[in-house]
Amino acid sequence: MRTPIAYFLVVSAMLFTVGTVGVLVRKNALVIFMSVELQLNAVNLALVAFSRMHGNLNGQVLAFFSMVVAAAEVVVGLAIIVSVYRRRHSANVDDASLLRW
Amino acid sequence: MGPLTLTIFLPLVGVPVLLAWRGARDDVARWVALVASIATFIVSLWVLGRFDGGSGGFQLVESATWVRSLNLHYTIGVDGVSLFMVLLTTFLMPIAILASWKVDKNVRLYMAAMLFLETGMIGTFLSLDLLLFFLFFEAILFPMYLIIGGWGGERRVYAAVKFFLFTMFGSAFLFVAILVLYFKSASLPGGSTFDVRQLAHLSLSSGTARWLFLAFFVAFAVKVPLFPLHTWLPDAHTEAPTAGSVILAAVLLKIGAYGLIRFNLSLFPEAARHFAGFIQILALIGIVYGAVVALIQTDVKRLVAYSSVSHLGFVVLGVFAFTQQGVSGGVLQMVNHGLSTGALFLLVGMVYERTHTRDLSEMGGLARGMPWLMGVFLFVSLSSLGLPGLNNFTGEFLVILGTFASNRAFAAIAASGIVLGAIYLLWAYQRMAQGPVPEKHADHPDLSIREAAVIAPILAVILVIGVYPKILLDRINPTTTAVVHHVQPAGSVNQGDAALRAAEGTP
Amino acid sequence: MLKVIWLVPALPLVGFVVNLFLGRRLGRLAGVLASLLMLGAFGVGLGVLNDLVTLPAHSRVFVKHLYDWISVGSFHVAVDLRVDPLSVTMMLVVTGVGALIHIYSIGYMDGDPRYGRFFSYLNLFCFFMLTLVLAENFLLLYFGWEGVGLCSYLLIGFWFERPAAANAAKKAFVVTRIGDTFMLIGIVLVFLRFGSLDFARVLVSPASSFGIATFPPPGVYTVIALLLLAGAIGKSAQMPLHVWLPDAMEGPTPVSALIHAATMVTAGVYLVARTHVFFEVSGVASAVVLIVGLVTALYAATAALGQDDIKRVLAYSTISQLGFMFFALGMHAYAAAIFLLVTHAFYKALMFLSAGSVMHGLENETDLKKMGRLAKVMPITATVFSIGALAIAGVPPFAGFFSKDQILAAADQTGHVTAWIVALVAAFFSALYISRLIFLAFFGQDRTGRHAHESPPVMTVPLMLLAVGAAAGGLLGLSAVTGKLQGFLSWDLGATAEPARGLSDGVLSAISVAVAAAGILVGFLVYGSGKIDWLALRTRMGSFQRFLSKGWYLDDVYAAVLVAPGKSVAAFLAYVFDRRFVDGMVNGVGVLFQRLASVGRLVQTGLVRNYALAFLLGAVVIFVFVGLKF
Repeated sequence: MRTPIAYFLVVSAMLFTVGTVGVLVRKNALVIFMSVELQLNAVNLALVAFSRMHGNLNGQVLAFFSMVVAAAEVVVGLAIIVSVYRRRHSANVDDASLLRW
Repeated sequence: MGPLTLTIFLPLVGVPVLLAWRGARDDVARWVALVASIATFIVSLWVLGRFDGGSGGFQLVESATWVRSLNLHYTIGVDGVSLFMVLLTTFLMPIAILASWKVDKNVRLYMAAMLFLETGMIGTFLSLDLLLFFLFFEAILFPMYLIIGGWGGERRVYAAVKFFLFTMFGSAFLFVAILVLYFKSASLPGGSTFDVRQLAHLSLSSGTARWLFLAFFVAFAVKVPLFPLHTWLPDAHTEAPTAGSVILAAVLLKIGAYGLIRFNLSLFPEAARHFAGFIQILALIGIVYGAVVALIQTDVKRLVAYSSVSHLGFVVLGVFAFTQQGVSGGVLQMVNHGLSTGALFLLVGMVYERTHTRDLSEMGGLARGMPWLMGVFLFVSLSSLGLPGLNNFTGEFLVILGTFASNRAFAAIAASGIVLGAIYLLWAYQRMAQGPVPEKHADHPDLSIREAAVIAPILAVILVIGVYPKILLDRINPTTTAVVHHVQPAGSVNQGDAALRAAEGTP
Repeated sequence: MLKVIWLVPALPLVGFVVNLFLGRRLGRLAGVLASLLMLGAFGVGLGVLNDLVTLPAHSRVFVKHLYDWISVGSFHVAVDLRVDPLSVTMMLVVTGVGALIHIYSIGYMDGDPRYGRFFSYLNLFCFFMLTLVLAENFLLLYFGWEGVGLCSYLLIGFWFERPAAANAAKKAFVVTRIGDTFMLIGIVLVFLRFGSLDFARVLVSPASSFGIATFPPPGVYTVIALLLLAGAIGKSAQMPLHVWLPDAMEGPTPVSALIHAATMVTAGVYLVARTHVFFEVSGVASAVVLIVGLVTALYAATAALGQDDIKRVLAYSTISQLGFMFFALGMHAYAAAIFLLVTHAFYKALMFLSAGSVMHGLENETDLKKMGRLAKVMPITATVFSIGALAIAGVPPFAGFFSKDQILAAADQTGHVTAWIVALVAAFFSALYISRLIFLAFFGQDRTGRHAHESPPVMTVPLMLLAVGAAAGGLLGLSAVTGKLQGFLSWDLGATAEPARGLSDGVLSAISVAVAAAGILVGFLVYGSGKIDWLALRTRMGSFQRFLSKGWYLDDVYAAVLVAPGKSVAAFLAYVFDRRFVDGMVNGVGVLFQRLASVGRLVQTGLVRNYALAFLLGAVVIFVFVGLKF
């Protein structure tokens, strides 16, 4: 018997919530970054689940896309975080608040 | 490639050369710009030679499809109005470049901006396609902004931004109106179009036409500038470098008046008639107001700037009189103002290079040490105040004549501007050139050869137009006849005769 | 010679160009060249006159078409020169008197650093003045009209380092321009009503049966006449636009003689005479001319009495004499006005140049109080000045007697008896102020305190020639009815009819001679006899004397009523209205957006997590919204 789609979606929703809360409450840029990855993977999970439910590969293709984009994003993001850290010796996002009024 | 396209884009040839050639010495950059602009002037003379003075329509038309799906064409052509605007531009551009020979900051960029500006201005005058016109119209803003903001006086940034925002404010209305026209023109046999010649046949409801007219009007009124949209002008003129002021006064302001004739009158004749009284009143306010405010100025550049407000009032007054004399006089006055005010700014620049002040109260007695420079200044002032035999008189007289035929009170009020013009210009001359000679101004050099070469061609043209304006008028008249007929199909072109007939009827 | 009429204005124009560019190199030759060209123009003018009188008496007009000037729609105007008796008369006065003044200037201006420039301006003036009188249409006339105004400006302000000269120059230009602008409107109106600006088409008497088919209603004639008159009043320094002429004396003396006595200021008289058709039709306009002339003649004659500056006396005298001319024009005695114009050109140029000779001998002293007994050291100057003075006072047989007498006679004989009496009073004052001048300057005690000397021949010879004109000019028009000049001008101005009423010519002449003699006698008693202490008299009448010397305080009235409020209005508009209000609105829009932005930008905290929260909330809102929709 197939596992009902709801199971996957619930897990996906839980993962996404954890990620969201992580982004909102943590201060360390690396942790926020990992939380964002969590959100992305929650979405990937949902995509793959729907793909299986519909019996076509569209969802999986989209998931691959998002993984590639996520990889690119990690590269750029980590580079920024590292260079900010080198300059200010801090990975706290609240310290990097120059772009305001 | 026809002569018009060549005229438009020839200056542009110099731009990549100047920008890419990093190693070019300043002198080389100056010469590149000068040669490009002189070549353009020569080509424009070719256009003049091929122009048929007997026809009032567009000539030398070139057309190429640009974006087929939008029915957007590269369509250019010349008529009696735009011909002299183009010639004015190409004639003054080498002079302006020669006048900025002493600019030594970032010369390549400056010269590139000037050439880019020239292409923009000529393109604006020659476009027969509304969107193309708009592109050129907007393209002018950028180099002018650079020139004022980069090479201007102390408050250059304020002035540049003000200039930019004022024009953009008008352009926003213009752009929306152009799009509305485009979509409305779907009913034309050729489908939606930006072509001015076809849009002239578009029949709009009078309400729509009036709104569109106002949108176009705001855009051009800022440029002219008409009261109360004029306040960018004194600041921009005062802060711009000499050549910037010259081009601004001589050509950019004309785009406003030109746009009114080319678009407002030809696209919305009924609305033009409806608003004519209102616009003429604005023009009259400008004439008197500009002159009165000029009376009290102590900064000579501001004084000339306000005098522009006054003079451009004459142009608009004449154009919206819808009489042959008024419109022809208005067009002639556009050329005249370009020459006289351009020359005034050149001379003020030359004086500034010597005295390092624009404050009239700091000057005095300059005619003693610099008889030629001050003599030329007086000559140009006299032209500007409308001395018969010099260029402005012909235009002003025709404007007053044309206006008188349609509204006597307006003509009488406009005539008062002539008296005021004499007062502020002669007073400026007196404070600058006459009176005791202060110690610090005792030994400035007189006109140099380069400066004489800059100013002499303008003086010659001023004199020729004053003594023999037929050269211009014969080519302008057929076009203005067509314009007047278009705006007033039932009205009479020969207002003098009409007034005569009316006189016979009245007891 | 008629065909080369263009040479007359062209010769001075050549002189202008040559002297403008080469004046400095030519040195003294500049003056000689300018004078020769003027003599040449005079010669051509005589040839033209010679040809003109050979034309049949009923068609003494010749128009030389040069080229089309402005042409738009139905409006055409050409550069055409008109030769007819009136224009030839004016042309000969301008070139003849002008040439003499040029020659005189060679001596007078010697040593001036801008010698060449002076002659080029003088030549330019003659070019414009000749164009003015030879013009065949209103616009070309206006061209010359404004051009002479320009030259007047340039020459009054010739010594521009002196603020007074610069001010006077500007004042002259601006005040006359006020009148000129009215005139320009008049010209526009002429075109709109007549469809042409050509004299040949416009200046046709509606009384004649030919010409254009229909004529505008008389009201139009009145309006046009009054507008043209405004220009004439400005140029000829009539009330109320006369204030510039006394100040114009800041210019070099030959300029005062040429421009502000003999030629330019008479342009207004010429204009009215030329366009007399309008004034014939319009009784109102004629009445205005008459009153303006009469008031000015009397006013200026009294003001002349209060002046201490020799040139200002002559300036007010000129205004007064021009008033007489306008007075004559107002009575339709056009030929008499032109006759006075011609004789006045002789004797007033003579007196100005003599005054210049006095200044030349006295190191530019112009104050009458510091002269006296100059007849001894400057016999020639004193003699010729006296001839001029006798002429202006109206003593027979000098030129002024005939011309003035004919005007006074016309007043009585056309029924303007009151005006005639007022004019007699003005004539009395004329005799009085001129005798005051003579006695103070040339006779009585020597108050100079320096060694004066007579001027060189290059100056005195033109003086003597002018003196001949002032003495014998009356021969040109001995009688209003049969005079040579009047007969010659009758083609343009109509013949003078035999007087129908009033006193006889003989009686009128006797009266005016008596008035002139009375004026001179009073002048002699007060200033010449030495029996009355005029200085004491003057202190006793202090305030009245100041009233006269200030020209009835009209300048101060204008300054208070027009200039000061004008400046305040301009300052208000420029600094308060334009800066604060118009530009303030523009900047106000900018400030408004700045304020808005200063509130709005607080949203940008710079904290990433705030932004993320906003993201989330936004996403939730969108989800809820979309969810509710479906």
